[in-house]
Amino acid sequence: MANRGEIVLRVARTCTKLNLEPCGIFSDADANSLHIKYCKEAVGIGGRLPSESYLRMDKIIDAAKKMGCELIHPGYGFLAESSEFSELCAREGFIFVGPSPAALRLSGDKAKAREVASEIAPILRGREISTETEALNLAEKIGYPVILKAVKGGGGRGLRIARSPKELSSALTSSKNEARMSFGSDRLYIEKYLEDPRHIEVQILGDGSNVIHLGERECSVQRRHQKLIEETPSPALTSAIRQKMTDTAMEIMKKMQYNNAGTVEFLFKEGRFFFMEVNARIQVEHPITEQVTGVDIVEQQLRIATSQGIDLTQKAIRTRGHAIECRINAEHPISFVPFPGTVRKFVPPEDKDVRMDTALYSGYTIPPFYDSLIAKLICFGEDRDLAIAKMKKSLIHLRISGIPTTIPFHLSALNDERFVSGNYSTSFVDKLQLFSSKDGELAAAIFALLPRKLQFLKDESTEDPWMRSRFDGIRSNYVLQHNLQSGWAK
Amino acid sequence: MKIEVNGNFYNVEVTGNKAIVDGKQIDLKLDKEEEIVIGENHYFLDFFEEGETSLMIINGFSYLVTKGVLDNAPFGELKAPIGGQIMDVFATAGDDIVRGQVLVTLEAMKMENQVKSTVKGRIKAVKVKKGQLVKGGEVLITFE
Repeated sequence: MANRGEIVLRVARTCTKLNLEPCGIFSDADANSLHIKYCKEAVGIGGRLPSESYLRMDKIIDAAKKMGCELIHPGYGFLAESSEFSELCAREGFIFVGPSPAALRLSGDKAKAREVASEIAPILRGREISTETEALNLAEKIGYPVILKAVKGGGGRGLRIARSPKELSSALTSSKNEARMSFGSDRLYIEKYLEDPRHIEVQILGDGSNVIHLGERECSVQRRHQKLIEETPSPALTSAIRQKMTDTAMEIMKKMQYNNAGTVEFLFKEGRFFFMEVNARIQVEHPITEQVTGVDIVEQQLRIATSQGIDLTQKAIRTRGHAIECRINAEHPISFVPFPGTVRKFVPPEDKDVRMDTALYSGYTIPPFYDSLIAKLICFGEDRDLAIAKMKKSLIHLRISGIPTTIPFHLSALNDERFVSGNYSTSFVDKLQLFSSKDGELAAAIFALLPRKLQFLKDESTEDPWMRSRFDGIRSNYVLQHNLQSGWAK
Repeated sequence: MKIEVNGNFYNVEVTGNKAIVDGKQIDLKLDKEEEIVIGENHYFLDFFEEGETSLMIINGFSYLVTKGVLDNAPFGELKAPIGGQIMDVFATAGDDIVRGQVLVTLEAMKMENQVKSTVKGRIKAVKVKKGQLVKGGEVLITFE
């Protein structure tokens, strides 16, 4: 398992179920990570930054050889969508648990993937551009606003919206630089920018001969193109559109000869959907699909990778109820600045239909080198209202102390009328207002007067603040709304 | 002591296991440092960031808490959420304003921040002008 944290625990669980022996790796910064304890064997690969550790293909291959591994599961992020890594695994005699190098090359080239998908699905107007003149001409033709994206990009990074030729010219330079630094390629493409869409994706399983879908996931609750809450089914789709969208997704994956678990992402607005990209990996939000379908997606990944094929038919897939995932990040709830530190106490909510995918434990010190996602809370209900109620209750009973988290954000979102009604889009977070409980205000006032010995401090001991470039100078309106409420007197 | 929590004011004194809140006595259980019990309810202080205005996370909700608010603190103010430069002011004294209306734009951290009204009311005075530098918490506008 060439990854760290909760996804290693997740994959290990299925391995154990299938009588496979889960083996892992860890960086110097992860010597105390819980994922090691879930591995039958684990090898330290040194380093702290991803570029020194979980992105080092040579070290990972060496570790896999040392432990006598047969399969390599890349998880998500890091090397999960690297065609180079999947090729290297094959060359070194390992089975890569993911799609073929050819499928990864195609999905990893967003401009090419668009072109292929355009034969099947509606796409927003646009294409790859290389010069400024070409970009300006294209934008003129398709009309502003437009969005600039990195051809080799992903995960919502390096996106720029331009509303005028002037904005486009300046965005081109910064986008090129960022793309080169983040993805090692400065190829860009331009697309007509759709204002205020919903973001909906379809979970696909393909094994070379057979492609099936496991329904959709609604991912519109995002901040800076990073997903925060996902739910399935989407409250926006009628069964006719759902059918059309899932059929389209399957057609695209067939065309790409896609052979593993993957996701086709769409933008959706006013009853119409547009292909966006293919995510060629298991996704962070896969658990909600598992909760409503009962399918173990990791198990299917392993079956496909070992040429046993999917042991499910489309007809046999029955979805039931509603599932929601809240991503708990170690972030300041006002500034959204990542906040690594020591978790004093971690108590997951214990309840029926509540699942928590996490590598947290009381006393764990979150290293500042990796993603700020520390836990995924997944709640199931027989219907959407019950799932929301279950999630609210679980968030209140979940104790993560010592560090700030996005839990207050989630409670505000789940109490927002737009979320409750299901009528929300990707601009949801911009207009979100702080929600808190009245009786808690009294408790806060009393806490303020109590003497305090324990310290809540940000861990400043490490010199590399968490992915600094990604978070510099960014603020959201949520911040302001939050502050504003305290700015008002009664 | 007068304490402001999420924009609401409380007069609170704590002596031993008792608190007096706005004249009413409340029994507390204070066994653990980050947990208090009021009646049947347990409150866990999961995070505390001390400052002029402190941030607390209690049972998953966040609270902004300002201690020692003066008794004669003016009511009905709009404060700067963060320090920065006033880019524009969209209101004058006597204006009737609605909830959500943008009253001031503020440049901070290279970003334009809209300071919106969260209530319906009438403007008493505008305390800042375009181009002015303000500190976080500084009063921008007062209301009748």
